[in-house]
Amino acid sequence: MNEPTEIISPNKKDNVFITRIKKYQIITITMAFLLLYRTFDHLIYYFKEGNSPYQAIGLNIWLVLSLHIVVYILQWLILTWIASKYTAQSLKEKIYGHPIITLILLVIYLHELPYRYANSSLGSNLVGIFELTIYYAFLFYIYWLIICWLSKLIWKRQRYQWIWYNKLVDKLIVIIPIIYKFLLGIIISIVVFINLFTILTRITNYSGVDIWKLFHFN
Amino acid sequence: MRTICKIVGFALFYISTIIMFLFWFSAMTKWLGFIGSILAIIIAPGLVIFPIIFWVVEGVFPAFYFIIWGIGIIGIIIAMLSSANESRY
Repeated sequence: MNEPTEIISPNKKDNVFITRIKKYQIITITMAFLLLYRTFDHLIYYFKEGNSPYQAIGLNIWLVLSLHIVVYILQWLILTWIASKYTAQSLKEKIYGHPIITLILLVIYLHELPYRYANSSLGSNLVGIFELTIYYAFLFYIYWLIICWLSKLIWKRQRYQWIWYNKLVDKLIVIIPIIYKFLLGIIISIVVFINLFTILTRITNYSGVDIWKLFHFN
Repeated sequence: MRTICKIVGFALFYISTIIMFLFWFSAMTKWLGFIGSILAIIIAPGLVIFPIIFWVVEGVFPAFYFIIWGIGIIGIIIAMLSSANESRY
């Protein structure tokens, strides 16, 4: 009867950043991972080589890193803002409503990707390939939203509807987040593995003599 | 968040286990030839006492093996911590 009860104030609100972090965890992890990877990449290059590629064009490494952090936070804000515009259900209905545009853009995206990898300096490593893939996926998502909006202005009602397409969308909406989480986890674990291995070999002054003995029979 | 942590933890553990097994398999094949390869698969639990045998036979401490083992342990700790959080909530 006399148990103390917790009074929750209706006005008590989380910080907007914390709310977004909690709501869009996968986007936050992706952006945080890419930011940390790029920052450490620059720092390692700077401390190992004693300079940075940016110094050649007259930029300070610390200024570049600060800009880097600001750019990634802005990207995260834009991504979470766009993600907040649609729920899974409303997005699915939008995809159902525009089958031709969706299929054409999907084919163009898949066709474009290899060329993007080949033409970018990021396409030479695993994290770079991952970053390019999600960057162009986001870009094509924006194109898709714009084209859908334009087509809705031109054609007032939907002309084509295929059962196989709707079934495929239902399946993909379920499968894609699972595949994405799995791939993100694998990429993070490969990077963590390589970094842990490097740190442990430095700490233990590992010389590689055991591996050398194992693979040299003479 | 927990799913990603679990995937990272288990992936670290499995990558380490595969590398440790390859190390063990290569050593057994080097020492005993084809029979060593077969034995490496059959007596895979020998992975635990293997570093001592390697140290005695080759005369070199298998630091690589222990580094990979350490990474595997870190992986399993990450996976266990993320699973523990899951059961609490």
